[in-house]
Amino acid sequence: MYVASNAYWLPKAGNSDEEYEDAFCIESEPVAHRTFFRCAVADGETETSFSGLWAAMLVRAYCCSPQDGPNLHDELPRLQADWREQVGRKPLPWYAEQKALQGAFAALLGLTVMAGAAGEVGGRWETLAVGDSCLFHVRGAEVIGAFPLDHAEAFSNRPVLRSSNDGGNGELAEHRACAVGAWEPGDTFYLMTDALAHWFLTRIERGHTLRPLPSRLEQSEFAGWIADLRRVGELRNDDVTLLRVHVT
Amino acid sequence: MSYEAEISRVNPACLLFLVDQSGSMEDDWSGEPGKKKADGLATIINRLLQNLVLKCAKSEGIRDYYHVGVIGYGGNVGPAFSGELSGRDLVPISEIANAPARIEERTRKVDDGVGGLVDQTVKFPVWFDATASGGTPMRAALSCAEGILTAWISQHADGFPPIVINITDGESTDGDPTQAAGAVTSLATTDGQALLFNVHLSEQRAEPIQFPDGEAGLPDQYAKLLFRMSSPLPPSMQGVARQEGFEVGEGARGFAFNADMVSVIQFLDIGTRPSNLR
Repeated sequence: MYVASNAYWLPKAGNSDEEYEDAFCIESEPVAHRTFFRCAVADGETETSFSGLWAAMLVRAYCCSPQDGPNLHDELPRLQADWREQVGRKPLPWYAEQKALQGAFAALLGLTVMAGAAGEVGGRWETLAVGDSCLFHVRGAEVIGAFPLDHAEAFSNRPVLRSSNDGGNGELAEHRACAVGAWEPGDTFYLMTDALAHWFLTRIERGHTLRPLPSRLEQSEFAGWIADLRRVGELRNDDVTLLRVHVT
Repeated sequence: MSYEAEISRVNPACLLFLVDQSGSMEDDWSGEPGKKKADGLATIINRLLQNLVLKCAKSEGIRDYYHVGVIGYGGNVGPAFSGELSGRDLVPISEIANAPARIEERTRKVDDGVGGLVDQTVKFPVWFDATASGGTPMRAALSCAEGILTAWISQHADGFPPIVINITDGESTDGDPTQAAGAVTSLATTDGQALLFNVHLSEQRAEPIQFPDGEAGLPDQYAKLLFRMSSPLPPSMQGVARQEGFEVGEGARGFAFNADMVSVIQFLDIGTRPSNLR
């Protein structure tokens, strides 16, 4: 299995790069004949503080989990303790202290791609989602799978997210979604945080033809494209993250 | 489309509270024996300010998504912040965060994790103190708001339109406020007209009426007057109200009549949530 991957990101228009609260993690350099590949995106909720930190911790934890099955759930208490420790390192004013007590929230989407057995063409993939970041499985010019949301109207202002507080994850069990499938050589996976995923699903629903993302797209070209979409009102002004994973 | 402007540090939202401080605010709130309306309302306003501060608190500090003012009307009409902010009308939320008049310690009941409740001490910042004297010069308060908003809009012409929330327990004592209310709601940014919401506090036990979409069910001329003074809820706030379980018609207005404490808290939560916080 050969995996080529790219990551693109942009903060909200008007915000600095330091204020970007999405996060992504992607395995390092492309390696030929790999048997296993992981990547993830997360979207820290705007109205919580230290959510960028929480998002970054979640994607790292997903990508670093052992090959015999990501069990992020078991890792949560340790991650939550780490988050509290990092947030509490310096004295905070009253509001930062109270805000931190409310915890940070983030959507998480992870993708694992596995090579097939010897002699098998293609292989398996599996994904884990909490919240409204979305995975699209594309074959040729066709989207053959969208997960966990598959139509634009399914996005709401209040997705269930993963919390850095113990008490904030009560509803998670019923909202944590997993899926598995098979990939064929030449397939591409796109992982998108919510604003871009919403735009993408809307385009599909309106019957627009899908054009593949250029394999050598530069970050600056991506930034220009996103800025144009925001300017014409097609894309909500939100942090944007896109991962492209091409498997052969 | 109106009421869709993004709330950002460049284009903050403006929230202006007009708080009745007339002598009758000394009376108990219906259903809350021993709790004066003035004290209960001060707690609600302080809690709301605290929540707005927390909403804007980020890892690096406070983002100025809101400019907030509190105008009191009773024996006097004017800015009602206590402490360092005394005399200021609209204040950026970061300055509010850093300048409470004092931080009190209050206790609240919290779940002890094994089915019981325990007292927990919490910090309670106070910016606004209860007072109650004189009449109800609502017309003067609305004119004061008009002056403040005119100046604010000249600096924020493309922002989300200002939101004014008038909270009162009685009828205006300085004349019919209709014209003064109209002067407030005729102010506009490029995103729409200023919003004026009215909350009437209950003196007797009666079912609160929230977000009505017509005058038909209102009990008297006074309620109808306040209804007519109130702006329609923008679609995004209608959506929030529905999410909170209210049956809200398309023509629903930002108006509550006979509100008890819970209704006031719910109303302020919905009425101070412009969409599109960046």
